[in-house]
Amino acid sequence: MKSLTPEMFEPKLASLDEAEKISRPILTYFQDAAVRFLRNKVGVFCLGFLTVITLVGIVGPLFFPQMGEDMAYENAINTDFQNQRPSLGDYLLVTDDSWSPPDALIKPNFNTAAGLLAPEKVFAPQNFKIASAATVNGVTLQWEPLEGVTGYEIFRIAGKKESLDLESFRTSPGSVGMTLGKIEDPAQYTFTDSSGLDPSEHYAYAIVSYVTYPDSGETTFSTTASVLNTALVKTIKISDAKHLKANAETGDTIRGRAFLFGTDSLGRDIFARMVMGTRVNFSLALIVPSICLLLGLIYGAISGLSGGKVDLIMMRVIEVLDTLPYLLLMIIMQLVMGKGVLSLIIAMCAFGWTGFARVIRGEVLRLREIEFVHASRLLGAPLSRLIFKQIAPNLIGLILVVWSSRLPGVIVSEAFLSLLGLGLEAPAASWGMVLNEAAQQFQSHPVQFLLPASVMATALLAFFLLGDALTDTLDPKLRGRD
Amino acid sequence: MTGEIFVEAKNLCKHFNLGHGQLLHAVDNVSLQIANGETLGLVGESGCGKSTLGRVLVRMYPQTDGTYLMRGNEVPNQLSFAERKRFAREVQMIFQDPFASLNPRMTVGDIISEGPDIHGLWRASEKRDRIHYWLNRVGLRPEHAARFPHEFSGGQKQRIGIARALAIEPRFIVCDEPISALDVSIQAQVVNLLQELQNEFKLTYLFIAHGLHMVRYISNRMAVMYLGKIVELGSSQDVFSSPLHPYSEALIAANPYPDPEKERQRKHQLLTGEITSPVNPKPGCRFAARCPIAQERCKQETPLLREVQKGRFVACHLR
Amino acid sequence: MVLFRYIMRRMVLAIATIFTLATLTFFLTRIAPGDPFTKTKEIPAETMANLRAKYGLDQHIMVQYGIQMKQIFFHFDFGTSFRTIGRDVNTIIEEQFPVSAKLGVFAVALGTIIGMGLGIIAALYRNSVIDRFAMLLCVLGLALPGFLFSYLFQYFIAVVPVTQFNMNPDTWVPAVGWGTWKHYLLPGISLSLGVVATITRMTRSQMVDVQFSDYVKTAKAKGVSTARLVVVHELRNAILPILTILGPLLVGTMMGALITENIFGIPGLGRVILNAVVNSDYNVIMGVTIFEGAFLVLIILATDILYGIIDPRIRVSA
Repeated sequence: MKSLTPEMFEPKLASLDEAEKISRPILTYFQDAAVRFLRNKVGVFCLGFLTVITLVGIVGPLFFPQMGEDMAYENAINTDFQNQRPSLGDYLLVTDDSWSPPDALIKPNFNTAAGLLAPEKVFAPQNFKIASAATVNGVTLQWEPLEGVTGYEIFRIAGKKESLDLESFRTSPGSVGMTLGKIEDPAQYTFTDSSGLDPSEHYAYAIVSYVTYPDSGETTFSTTASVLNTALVKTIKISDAKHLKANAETGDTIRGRAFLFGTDSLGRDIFARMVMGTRVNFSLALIVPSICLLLGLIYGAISGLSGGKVDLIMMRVIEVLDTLPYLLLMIIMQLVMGKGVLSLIIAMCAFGWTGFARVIRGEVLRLREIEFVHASRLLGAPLSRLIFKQIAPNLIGLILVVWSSRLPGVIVSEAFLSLLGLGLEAPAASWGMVLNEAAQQFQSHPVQFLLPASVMATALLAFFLLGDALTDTLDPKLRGRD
Repeated sequence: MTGEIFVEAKNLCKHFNLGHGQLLHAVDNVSLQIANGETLGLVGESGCGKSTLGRVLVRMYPQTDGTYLMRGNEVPNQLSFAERKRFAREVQMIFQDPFASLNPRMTVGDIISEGPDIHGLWRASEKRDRIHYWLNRVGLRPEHAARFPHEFSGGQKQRIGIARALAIEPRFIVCDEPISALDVSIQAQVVNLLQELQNEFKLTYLFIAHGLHMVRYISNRMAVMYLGKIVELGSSQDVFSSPLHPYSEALIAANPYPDPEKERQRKHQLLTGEITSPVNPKPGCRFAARCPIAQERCKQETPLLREVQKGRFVACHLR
Repeated sequence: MVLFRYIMRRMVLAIATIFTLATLTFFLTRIAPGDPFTKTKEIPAETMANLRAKYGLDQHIMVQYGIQMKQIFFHFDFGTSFRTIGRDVNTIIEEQFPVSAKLGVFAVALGTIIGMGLGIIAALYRNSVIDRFAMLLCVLGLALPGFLFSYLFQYFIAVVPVTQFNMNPDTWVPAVGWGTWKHYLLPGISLSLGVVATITRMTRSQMVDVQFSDYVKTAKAKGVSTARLVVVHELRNAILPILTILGPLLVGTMMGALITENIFGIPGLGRVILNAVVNSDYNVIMGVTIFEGAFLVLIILATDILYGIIDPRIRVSA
């Protein structure tokens, strides 16, 4: 080891300034908070996500009319499009009220006097096909009537095209399928099925002939059936078709509207209703907490600054209000004021301000006694200066945190009231209204509920996580320790 | 003690009502005088009321009883905002907690210039220079003016607090334990700064602390408080080297010597007994329960502060 | 003595609250447009007058107020339902409230047990997979409302298996109804998620806080085993705050269950309220609101008193 001599050690004289030098850039409180917030990936993502939704809500209907009022409200009620599943636009046949498929029914020659067929000669009728088009309004079948039979039976099965077991249907239609009708006229060559036709399903029909021998009373059915399968063609009235394609004519096939979320029981586009609903819900989410904030701020500040008896009484009042069952009272208030946006806002704000008041009062009390406020007072600051320059700026962080934590609650409350039949007046669109209508169709068309519910759930999660992120940024003490 | 009397307190009392008939005698019958330009040190253990006394003197609280005179004029109990403004040019305070005494949302420059702004002392054109002047004067740099309190150390924050107090050119400053929250090495720097400023600006100080060495160093005279009462008052030298009141004795004796050898050899005197409560106190000496030389009379009769030698006051029946 | 005064203060406050609630509800329901009779059909003026007289609706509002208040507070009688003739509101509440209460208690109990367990494990194995999973669950439970889960559970657990996968509806979980233990499952679990989330978060943060405290570090240094540490030291700390929110949590769950009850066809207060709202049935609405409100107040009172007994600091500050 090298020997160390005193000359090697020179004291490094640090000046007083050097010792306490600061080398970070200057940031105001908010700039600092913004930087910290941007580091919180979850928070930034949620903020971005919610901004996108907001923009879609505001700008969407302006640029894409199909997201707009037309498709969401009364104009959109359209029985032709009830309960559609989500799609990018089905192909539609343009019709008008008087249109009927070209007449393909040719009445065949038939000899009614022919004798009954022997059992081994009983076959299913031939040329079983659809007369022209199979639409939601009706599927007209036709076949070649068989001479010598007593009648026919027609069966039907429905489902996804791949899952239809056509072989079994052909050999034993009665056990596989549903009986549509028994035809007791051997000369009949056509039948129209219009019972519960669902455009989302694929249908197969089977027809068998049967002979009933009068002497023995026995009935023989054809051993196999004639089978056909078809999907339903959707139709659109010419007046509506013109909106989609100006020069459409009856008999044309055009592409219909895209229903991203499908349609509801009145035929309205659910996605459009959700977009319009975004405007309502997000406006409420911004307005209601802000009103509550204002009320709570004034009340809490007065209570905190006054102190003494005034403070005591004001807090007792808040205690009483807090213990009231606000949900039930909200219901009653909506009942009293009728449905509608204003009544909704009033009902939600009526009891929501107490939380703000408490928090603000607590902070005001703390700030009142804190030394820098005393110092300012000591310097001779007037009351206005104390309030606006000393106390208020220190409240902002807390206010922001509490305010942002109230956003999801508004959306939930609106949905809650709507699901109880209160909320807004029909035919307005809000997320809650959409859910309420969809809930009634839940058993038969669950998708109507599930998609909007997912949107709402995602938005709620985003608000919630955003609130957490803001709390972390502005006042980590409020969160549980991690 | 020489010179004009700047601050005079006569039988000053500050009682806090705790409810249910409980009255906390934080400051009880305190009389003292502070001369122009002098530093009066005020020591005592935690809870003895020295901070409360300081706050009464800056009128953070009104007093419950007694008289408070400044330059011969009585200071009103409740100050209106206009009176408060006038008062601010006379009396300022330096606070104990460097963290809580500066508004985190204000820049250092704003903090320092707040007083002058309120009183219109500086013209807009000279504001920047004045701020820089004060920053330099307390040992900081001009570029610190745009920064925020959280970027500074404890010692630096106290310097900012000092600059703030001095910027409106007061005459009397109450230093409420200004160095208790600081490291020892920084304590010395701040105390030295205070002395320099006192000499330069002819300030009068009330220096409240519990670190006896520092108090002795900076103060001309020293007062010892116990449970709301002043038990001894005299020149710092006298009180420190030959304390008269048994409590002062114990307090000073408890102060450790910087030399471990000497410290080990020193006789340690322990105080035993219950601390009397300052709430609804009974008559009698408050220290009697812990006093090693207490007698019957001490428990019955409250001793008054009386001058036993020139300039030396003690509140004890036996000294 | 201090405790007695504290209890008295809380009781006075409780009574004041209930009275305020009753008054508020009364005047609100009277302002509401429409009256309980004309909802379904047109009634000739004379019959209307008779009906109104029968139910005392023709008297001056303050007289009605006085009578109602007297009936409620001295006789605990909420009157009869306007809609369903002859049905006492009291009877309705008596029949339906226990159903809602049972469901609520089930949900809260289940949620608390699961929540505490999850919270303890999450605290002990911080930042592990379990912890992260628990935190995720908490976010879902706190952000999303209970009725959402109710719909989902009902569809995916009760309906889909029966319709798509041919589960036997008689042995599987029922989709609607009330009566057997199975009927508790779906509504109870969907309601308990919010409780789980709250309790897990609380437990976890309490445990973590305690872990950092000096006395636990001391115990660990002394060599106390982990199990004993957890149970004796840390848990005791965590339980108290949970106890204090259990009451309000229960009432909150019951109120939030309004929609859930309607989804699952449970004969509880949810249905009562819904019908009463639709039919403007004053007495029923008043009765249920005041009853539930009083219930909440009493639970909070009990919790306050309990806490006051346990923690002496509260008595002084309140």
